[in-house]
Amino acid sequence: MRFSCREVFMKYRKGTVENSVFAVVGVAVIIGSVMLDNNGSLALSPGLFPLLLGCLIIVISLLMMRRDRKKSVSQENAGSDEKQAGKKWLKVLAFVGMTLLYIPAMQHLHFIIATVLYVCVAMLLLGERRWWALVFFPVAISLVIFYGFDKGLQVYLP
Amino acid sequence: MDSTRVFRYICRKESEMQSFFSIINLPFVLYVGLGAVMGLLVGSLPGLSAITGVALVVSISYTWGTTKALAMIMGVYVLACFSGSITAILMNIPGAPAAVATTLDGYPLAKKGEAKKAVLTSVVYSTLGSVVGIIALVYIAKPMSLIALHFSPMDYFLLSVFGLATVGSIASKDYLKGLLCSIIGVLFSCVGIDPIMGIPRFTFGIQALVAGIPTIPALIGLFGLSEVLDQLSVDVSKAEMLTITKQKVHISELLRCWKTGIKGSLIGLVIGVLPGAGAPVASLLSYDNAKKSIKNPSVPFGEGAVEGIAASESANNAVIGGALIPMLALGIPGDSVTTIILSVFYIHGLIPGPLLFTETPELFSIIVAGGLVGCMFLLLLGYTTAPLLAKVVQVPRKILFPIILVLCCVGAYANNNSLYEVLIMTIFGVIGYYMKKNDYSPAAMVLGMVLGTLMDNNFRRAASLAIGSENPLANMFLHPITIILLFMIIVSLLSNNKTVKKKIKSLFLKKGKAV
Repeated sequence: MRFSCREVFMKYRKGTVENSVFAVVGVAVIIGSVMLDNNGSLALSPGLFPLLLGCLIIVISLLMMRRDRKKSVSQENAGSDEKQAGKKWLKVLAFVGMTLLYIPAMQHLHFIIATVLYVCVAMLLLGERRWWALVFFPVAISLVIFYGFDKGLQVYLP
Repeated sequence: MDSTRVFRYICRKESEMQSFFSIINLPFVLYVGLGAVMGLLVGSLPGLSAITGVALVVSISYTWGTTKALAMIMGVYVLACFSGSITAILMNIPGAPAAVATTLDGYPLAKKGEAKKAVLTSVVYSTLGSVVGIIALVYIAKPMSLIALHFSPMDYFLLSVFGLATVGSIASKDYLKGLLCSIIGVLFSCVGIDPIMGIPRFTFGIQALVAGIPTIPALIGLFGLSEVLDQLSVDVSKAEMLTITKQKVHISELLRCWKTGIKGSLIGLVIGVLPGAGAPVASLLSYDNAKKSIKNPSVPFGEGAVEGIAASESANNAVIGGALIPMLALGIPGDSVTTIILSVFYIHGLIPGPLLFTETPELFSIIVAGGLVGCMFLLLLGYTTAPLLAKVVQVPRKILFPIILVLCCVGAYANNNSLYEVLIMTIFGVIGYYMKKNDYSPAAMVLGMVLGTLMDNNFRRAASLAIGSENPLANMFLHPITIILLFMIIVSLLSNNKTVKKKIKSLFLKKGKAV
């Protein structure tokens, strides 16, 4: 049975890439810890504890790498799973992007305006197409949350 | 001598009871009630669990006093553990993983037109489980905490390591991944000003990171936002919703499984105390036990036996008290929800252990009182609002999810009135989503973040004490408690190793064959 480069990459990609990233993080933590000002005393050094953590991260990532090499991944479902996963990721990315835009929107617009827009777009992305629902629910949710937090819980929103 | 002792004991108990009842006033009951309603709603919605509910409450209640915050959290905790059974019975969809066992008999019973009986059985035995768990908490937590009085800095460090080693198996199928998550959580706690030397660590010149990574926004991101993102990618087909018809259910019918209920409660209690197992394991184990031990159930198991519902629901809710015991006594959470409650403790400057019982005994009373008032709300709301709740859970996702998203953002903002914290929440939401999709454990990461500072301080204190002595290694490790803790850590690590597990299994199999 022959595998193309992509298939071989797919087979080991996830675990290997993840574990390699963790190993690199471990190395970076060790370097960062060593570079911290130790102030002459190793026991009180702010770098001592992160140094240990960095070593542990490397050890565990290597253990996981060794274990994952033994596991085989089903090739048959890989293609369809990839497509589905891609679609899901797009939806998730859209929501994350929207939330990231919501942060400056809250600062520059008022909380109520930003939230109306945010909820409206979220509902659109989730498949809501009734125009009255796209107007009524965002306005109602924004007002209830704003007044509930601002007046009820004394959490002053931007 | 004995009469003096008895008198002292009675006096002590009387003063404890007085302080306990002085907590329960109208505002307290209202806060627990508010939490109970939230828990009922969040727990019954498939996909959202007690963890999401408690995480959202933590964000709202951060600026409140400890009493109000803990009262509300206990309300959420008790009701969210129960309400997963509503959808399990009426829709055959467990609202939470712990309600899986309830679907096995709850749904068949509801299909026979006895939905009310199924729901009421669940209400009664969830209440029984919760009460048994909380009573056990009252009697076990304090004596257990006295052990911690003899702890050295190294012991505290090892106790945290033990917590992380065991919590690695919470909500994560892969132990190594769970362990890695907890270590990365500890690493996150190292970001910011070093508490001993005052030197900034891993801030990369970013001013906002000098204060460290805020726990609450990270927690909301890991449990709240990530849950919504996770649910976005789940295709939900419209499930059939059974209705609760008017049916007379006699109290004697509900109470006939009391033995199963008590047995289930005890199973749930023991499983709750063990870190890592949690409510799903407890309810399945109790159900399995009932199935094996009850020779003549009302109807065969799997066809609507009330004994099955009683067993799973009592165990499921008894986990609450069980999980709180090691959390309050030693600072080791028994499940994911207690991990979040532990973070609330640290946020309010409270450290679990013996000092909690001697210096701030009212906090322990708040938790117990909150739990018991929560049980009353469980009985009340479960009995009266279950038919209404069946309609609420049908709220479309396209309305529900935007509400949760906005609440996550507002909760993170409310932590410090800062939009930077909303950004942190979003980042951790993405991290949490990736973790959930790839069998990593957000609960382990949160515990690492919560215990990290404590571990760092105690480890360095132990190291500095040892360096000054003649034999540093002996100074650090040659103490009875230290040796026991080291042994427990090694056992915890080895028991999660597949090779060791296989060898133990084969050893037992060989012995069995020989017998």
